[in-house]
Amino acid sequence: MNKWKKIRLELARTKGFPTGSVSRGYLVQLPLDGEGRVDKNEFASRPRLATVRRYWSTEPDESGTLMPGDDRWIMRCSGSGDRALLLDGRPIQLGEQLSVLEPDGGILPFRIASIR
Amino acid sequence: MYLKSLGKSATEAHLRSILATIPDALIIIDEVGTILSFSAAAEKMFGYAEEEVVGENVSMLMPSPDRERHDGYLRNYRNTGVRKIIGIGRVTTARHRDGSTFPIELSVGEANFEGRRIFTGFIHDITQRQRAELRFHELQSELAHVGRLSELGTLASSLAHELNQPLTAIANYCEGAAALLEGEPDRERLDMAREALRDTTDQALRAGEIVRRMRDFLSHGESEQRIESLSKIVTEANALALVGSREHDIEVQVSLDREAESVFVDRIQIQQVLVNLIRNAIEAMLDSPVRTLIISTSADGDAITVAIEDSGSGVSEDLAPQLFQPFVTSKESGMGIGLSICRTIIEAHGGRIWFEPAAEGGTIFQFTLPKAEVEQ
Repeated sequence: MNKWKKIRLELARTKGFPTGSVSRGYLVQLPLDGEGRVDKNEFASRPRLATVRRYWSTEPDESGTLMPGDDRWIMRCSGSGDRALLLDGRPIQLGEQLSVLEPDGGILPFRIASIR
Repeated sequence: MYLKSLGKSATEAHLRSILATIPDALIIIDEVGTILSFSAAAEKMFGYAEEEVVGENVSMLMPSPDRERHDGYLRNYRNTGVRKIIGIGRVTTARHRDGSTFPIELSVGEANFEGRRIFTGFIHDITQRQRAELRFHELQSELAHVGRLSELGTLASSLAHELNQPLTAIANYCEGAAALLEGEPDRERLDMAREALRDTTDQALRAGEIVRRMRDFLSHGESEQRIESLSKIVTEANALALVGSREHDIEVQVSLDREAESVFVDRIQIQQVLVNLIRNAIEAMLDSPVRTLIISTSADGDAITVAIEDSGSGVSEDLAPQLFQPFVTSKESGMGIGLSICRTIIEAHGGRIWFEPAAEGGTIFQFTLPKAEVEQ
């Protein structure tokens, strides 16, 4: 079974976007086990496959790599400072929310819009 | 939503009912690119609901590099009035909500509505029909190539025969001249030797002519080279190559160097090379957990390099040395002449084509093209 999944995150409700925004998000590629947790063994065997693309309607697309941190994944993209995907011990499941720590220290909420 | 706001006239209801029957997606934007209306077919094609995208910039539906360039295209049109796409239509790629890229045919119209300029985009998902047409063209050129190859076999044997004649004559004349010059040759023998050497020259020229004829034959074709836009060639070829690959969930990244824009090429032939290489790349990735296709262009001095990188399993060592030879293939279907055609085309353009393993395990195919000098 292919454990590598493409997880699409879309900006959830914020002050600036009361209904969220579908044109602002991330496409994260990580190996998941049956419970939606990142499969560390699979990741360790092919770490280079862990990638991220950032879509932001008002900014150019960015792409980069993911590195494991302390209960978070560091997203290192070309052309911007590091961001972090904060999992807070929660599984990655459709419809759930997670947060992204921005380079300026701000935290933005994202909805898990699809996993495939 | 835009149409909804126009009031409930019978004409409008009629118009909406007609629009609902159009299988193509219809998107209406204002002159800065903000989405005003998103038809039901567009909702289905892109995976977004109308209320989610109205008010957003239409470039969200495009993959890079079109996405970043679109605002500039609109601004250019507002400032110069020069039409680049309106009323023309083009084959390009679009981005679905799930991040995947798919081939489309886009036709753009312009209208004035209550003093405001709006643009209408009809988007046709390129389907089976175009795929069949593409395959037909491919088969045609494959057949022509195979025909050329078998003719080449015949040609080679007659050529060997033909070349043998002047070569034998050259050998004889030289031998004769050497004999005439032995010892202390008198005037008559010197004249004869001179004559023999002249004949040698004639025969050498004749041999050269035969070789030239063969070269002409090899490069024969309806090649029409002119200055073309490489980004347009790549975008179209990418769209065509992606036809039918939606279910394979290929992530495509296109990165075009602005310095590598003008090339002097036969557009159809170079697109054939690109479609071939992209198709090969897609096929090479079908068993991979991650399927990323990276197409990039770059300029270096007078040469432009195009690279197609896949995240597949790489080329096997036993196949590698002969990959560009005709009838060499690792596929169950296909004749194995695709790469051989690619090489013929690229070399006829004065470029070269090669491949190397990619850092992440796949393969990078690259070819060079001469840069076109564009007068300012």
